[in-house]
Amino acid sequence: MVKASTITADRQTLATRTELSDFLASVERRAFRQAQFALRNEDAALDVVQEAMLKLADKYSHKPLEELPMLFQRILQNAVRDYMRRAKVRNFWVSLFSTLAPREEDEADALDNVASADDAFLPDKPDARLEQSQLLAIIEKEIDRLPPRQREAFLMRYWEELDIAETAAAMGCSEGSVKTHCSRATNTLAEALRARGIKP
Amino acid sequence: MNAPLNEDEFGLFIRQHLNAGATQLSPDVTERIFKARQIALHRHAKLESQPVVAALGHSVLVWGRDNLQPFLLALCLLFALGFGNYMMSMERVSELEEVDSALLADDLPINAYLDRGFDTWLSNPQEP
Repeated sequence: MVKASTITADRQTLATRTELSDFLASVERRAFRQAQFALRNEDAALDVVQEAMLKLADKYSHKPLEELPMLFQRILQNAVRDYMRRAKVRNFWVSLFSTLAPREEDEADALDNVASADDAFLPDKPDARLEQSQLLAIIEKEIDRLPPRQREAFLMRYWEELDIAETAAAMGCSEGSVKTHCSRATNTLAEALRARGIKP
Repeated sequence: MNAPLNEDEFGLFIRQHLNAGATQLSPDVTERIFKARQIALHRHAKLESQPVVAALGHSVLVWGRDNLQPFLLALCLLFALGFGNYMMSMERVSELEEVDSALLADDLPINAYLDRGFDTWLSNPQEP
């Protein structure tokens, strides 16, 4: 404990073990869902999240706490892209040897998941809860349909609450591109929801 | 006619629903994510418990592995070229040594080879 407090005193804003633990706990579920949106595979998403967490702890845990969200997003998106590249190469060889291999089906959506009552946003009544689950499934489906870069930008900006500069740094693009991606994603999502009779 | 969309408000609307969805992950997934976090924290604790010099060494190694790879490859290539050149030079020196040894071991004095008349005499086949 003395050691931890000394480190805190010496490095002030640098992440300690507890801070890193709290940070990872706060982002891990969202990170998993983000990876799942991109990869459409639960196991792959879990692998990617674990890889991103390890990389953050291994290489960037000495960074100031306030930089961790942006760094973690950057690591996560890179891990997703690396996984996709590896999968592409693997699929090429698999398809070369077997054209009969079954295609990967989309994983079950959130409606299949067991509900927990630890969130204030969850309604108490069963019918309201069902309605919200259905709405969530629609929202997730529409997010899933967005082009990858638009989805990345939208989720980082409005789910991870990164600012434009942080999102641009995490995505490796300009702030203008982030604004464009976000605007397009917002309009597409809003239109899709309106078409289904949902008014945001 | 649709009202103009407020991006931030819409973002908040989506965020609330996605957050609610993130709390409804299956126990199996939650458990695996928890384990992944524990592994990452264990790695972090290991790094923290290392002495400062070791931690610095680790950072340098990680940085070197990521950034110095092309330079190390170029260095290896340069070393290989240098080694090849050195070996060729050594071979040439050894050849010259052999010629010198042969000259020195010969009965003829070395000045005889520098004499033009001697060359002419050698190239004339009629002389015995």
